[in-house]
Amino acid sequence: MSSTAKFFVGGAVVVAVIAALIATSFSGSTSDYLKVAEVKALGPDQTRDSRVSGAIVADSVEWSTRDMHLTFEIEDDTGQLAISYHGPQPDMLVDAVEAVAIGRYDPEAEVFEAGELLMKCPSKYEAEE
Amino acid sequence: MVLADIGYGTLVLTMAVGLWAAFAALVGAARRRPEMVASARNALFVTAGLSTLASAILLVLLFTHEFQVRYVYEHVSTYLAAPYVLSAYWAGLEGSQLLWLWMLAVASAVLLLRPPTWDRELRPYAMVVLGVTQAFFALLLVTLTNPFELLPTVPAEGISLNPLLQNFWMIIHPPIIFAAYALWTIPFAYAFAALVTGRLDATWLVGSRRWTLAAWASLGIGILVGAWWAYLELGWGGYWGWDPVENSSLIPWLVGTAFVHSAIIQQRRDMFRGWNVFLVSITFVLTVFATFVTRSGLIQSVHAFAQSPIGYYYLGYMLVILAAVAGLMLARRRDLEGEGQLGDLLSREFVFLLTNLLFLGSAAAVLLGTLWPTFTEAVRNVPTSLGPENYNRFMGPLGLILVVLIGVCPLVDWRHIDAERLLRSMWVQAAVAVATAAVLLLLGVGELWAIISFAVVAFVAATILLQFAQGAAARMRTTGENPFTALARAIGKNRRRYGGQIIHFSILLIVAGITGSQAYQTEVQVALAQGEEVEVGPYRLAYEDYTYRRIEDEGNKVLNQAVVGVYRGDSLVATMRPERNLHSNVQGAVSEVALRSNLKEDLYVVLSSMESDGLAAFQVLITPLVVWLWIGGVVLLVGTLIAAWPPRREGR
Amino acid sequence: MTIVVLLILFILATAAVAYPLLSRQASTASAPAVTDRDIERALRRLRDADPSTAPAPAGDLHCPACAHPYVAGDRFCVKCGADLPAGPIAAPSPVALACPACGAPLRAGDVFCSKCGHRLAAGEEV
Repeated sequence: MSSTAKFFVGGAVVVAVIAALIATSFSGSTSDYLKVAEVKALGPDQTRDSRVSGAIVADSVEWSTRDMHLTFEIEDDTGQLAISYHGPQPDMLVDAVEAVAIGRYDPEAEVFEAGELLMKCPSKYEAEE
Repeated sequence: MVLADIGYGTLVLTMAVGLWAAFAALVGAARRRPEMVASARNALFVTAGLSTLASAILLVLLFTHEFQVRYVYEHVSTYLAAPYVLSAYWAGLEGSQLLWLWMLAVASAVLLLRPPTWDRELRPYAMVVLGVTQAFFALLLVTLTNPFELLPTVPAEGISLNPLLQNFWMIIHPPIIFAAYALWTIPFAYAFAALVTGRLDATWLVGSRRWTLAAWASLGIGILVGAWWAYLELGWGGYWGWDPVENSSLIPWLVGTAFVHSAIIQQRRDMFRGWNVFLVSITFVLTVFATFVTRSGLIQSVHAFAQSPIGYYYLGYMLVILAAVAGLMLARRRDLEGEGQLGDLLSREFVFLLTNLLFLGSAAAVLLGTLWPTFTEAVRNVPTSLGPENYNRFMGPLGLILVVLIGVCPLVDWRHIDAERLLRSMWVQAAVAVATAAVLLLLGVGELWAIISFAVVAFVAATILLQFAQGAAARMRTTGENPFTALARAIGKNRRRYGGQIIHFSILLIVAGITGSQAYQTEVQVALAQGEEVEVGPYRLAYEDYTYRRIEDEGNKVLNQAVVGVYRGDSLVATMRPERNLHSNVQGAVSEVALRSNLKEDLYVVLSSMESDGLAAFQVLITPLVVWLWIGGVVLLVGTLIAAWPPRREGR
Repeated sequence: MTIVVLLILFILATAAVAYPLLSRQASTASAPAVTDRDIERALRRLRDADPSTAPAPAGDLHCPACAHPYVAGDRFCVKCGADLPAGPIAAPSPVALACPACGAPLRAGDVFCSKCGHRLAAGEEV
């Protein structure tokens, strides 16, 4: 086999391996962005996290320092959703700010148990938006 | 507002003069009319002057609090400290693009100040790219993102800078990143010129090498400074979250790194001619893409495209560049064939190719991940997001293979090496790696992947140190110098090689820092009343006191500060003061982390909330080795300076 | 006021851009065709071609790629950088010049180091 051919075969194998690695990494624990109504329609057997975002409803934020437990409600154009979160209080937790909650919905308690919270505004750089 | 109008007029002029520069350079080069090229050169000096003037005007407006200017109103206030007023210049999309333009214009002027030498034929075509790119950014500023736009009324007070951006590292991070983006334009401009003229030998690579190194190093250091800022200011104990803004600066760095390496191959073996042109063009396009992502926020949703036409401008510009490069490459496909022949699979050529593919593969994957929500939304209407674990799953293995290659590459000969000889040449390093892994296992350090990572780092570090030792020893034998002189002279005699090795070493420090901090972080979340204590790792943290104070002159900031004594055994090792302050301008609370850093580990204390009776919730993290990331950044800078420093004997 | 300032800027810019087109000097100031580097290169080519300064052929060993003579123990051809067949190791000749990369001794005219294949930079070439 000529060295050029060897190079191409070797290169192709490497590319295939990298592509396979990336493909397996991308499947799995990705999470879908859902609307509030879609979250509420979820059953108890969710296999992966969902991601839901909405504006924080005025005066709904309740924080217990002792338990480090946060509850609030968000709303989008499809309804309102109660969020529960254990952990440090995120920065910029303000009424009307867009919050992103990542976690699973508990249909029994009608509460979205968030493992992670992100505040969208202000974004990392821009004050407006 | 006279000043703002002048600023706007300056930008319009910049756009016109930039276009003229591109046109005159093109005509001058194609028709061999040196007076046209001279006119283009002057035009690029004029754009440098004009964009400097525009920047100066924006700064004057910011510092004099001219709130009628929208950009000033949105980013400063009367109580904002002076250094942050300076950084407000690049805090928004408008200012960032002006900074890009200004940095590129200044870099172009610096380039053109020197009389042409090796680039006599190429320079006019490079000036076309410089002129067009400057005109593009001026066009954006003039049409869509005018930093001098006026409000109908004059507000009494400004919104002020986002408190998260009020941090020293956020003052210097954007200029470094944008300098890097602007600097990448220059190697691309020369690649374009090489394509047009057909002079595709290594001349353009050698000639623009220092610009490439400057661009590459500032991008890497800019990314690290951004990570350091995120670590200090965002208060979650991490420094990298794989968010689109971070990714967008990493992608051009990855492709640029591939380019820096394959450029070496072309210089040594005259291979990869077309590949190099392709890589540097992609890097440049990705820096434009990054600017667009960073400041527009459009990447999160396809719907945002409909709201502002700015996305189409950027997309259009990127497509024009890609089309031009692709067309020229097709036309020049004969000249793109180098003379070098491929070697064996066990050869340095193939190792370099492997490195290239790995860098390009990881860049493609990060790009795909960044665009994933946009794609999935477009395809099935529900955006799907990737978490850090998705990224880590491919970046971990790919990164480790790349690090292994750093250690293997210097041992592999050009063209061909016997497998047996290669294995024999690395037994010392292999022994060091095995010993490292054994010691870590004996110490009872868990996490298999982290042990593998440390062993790999040890393997590569041994290779690099052996090379320094061999270089010094050889000089000692031939010249009889003492070890230190011999080492210094060996480095001085071959700065490119040893500078590169120092850069590789800095990558090892960074990898060690990433491994330690990712694998062994300890986190405790606890609510404490005044006087209570908590044990975290080897430390005992006592919540001793708290302060609650309204600070009027900083725009009604309310300061909440906890005083935490840190004990080891019975001795006090530090007093830490984490804060969580309410900023009335954003009506929210922002944490200021308290950090105690040493070479072994960082103790990181966040005050996550505080009640009026002093009851406070803390998040305490112990992160090992994280400081080596920043040390690695400094070493990287040193290595680049050594590699790029002009040799003494070069008569240029 | 605004108009006046912008007009001045416009005139200055136009003047700077138009000056080279109007002045005759620019068209005559054409570039010298030959650079120092070109001269250096030509000299080197001559020097390499001149049998009196070329390294003396040692034995019957010749590079398989370019037929340039080499001495036993060399791993790379000093002329073209190609791999050389392995042979018995010879003692290095007594010279003071050393490869900056690996410290191996160099001979006059070398462009590549014979031991590590390092390409000698312009200043290092001997």
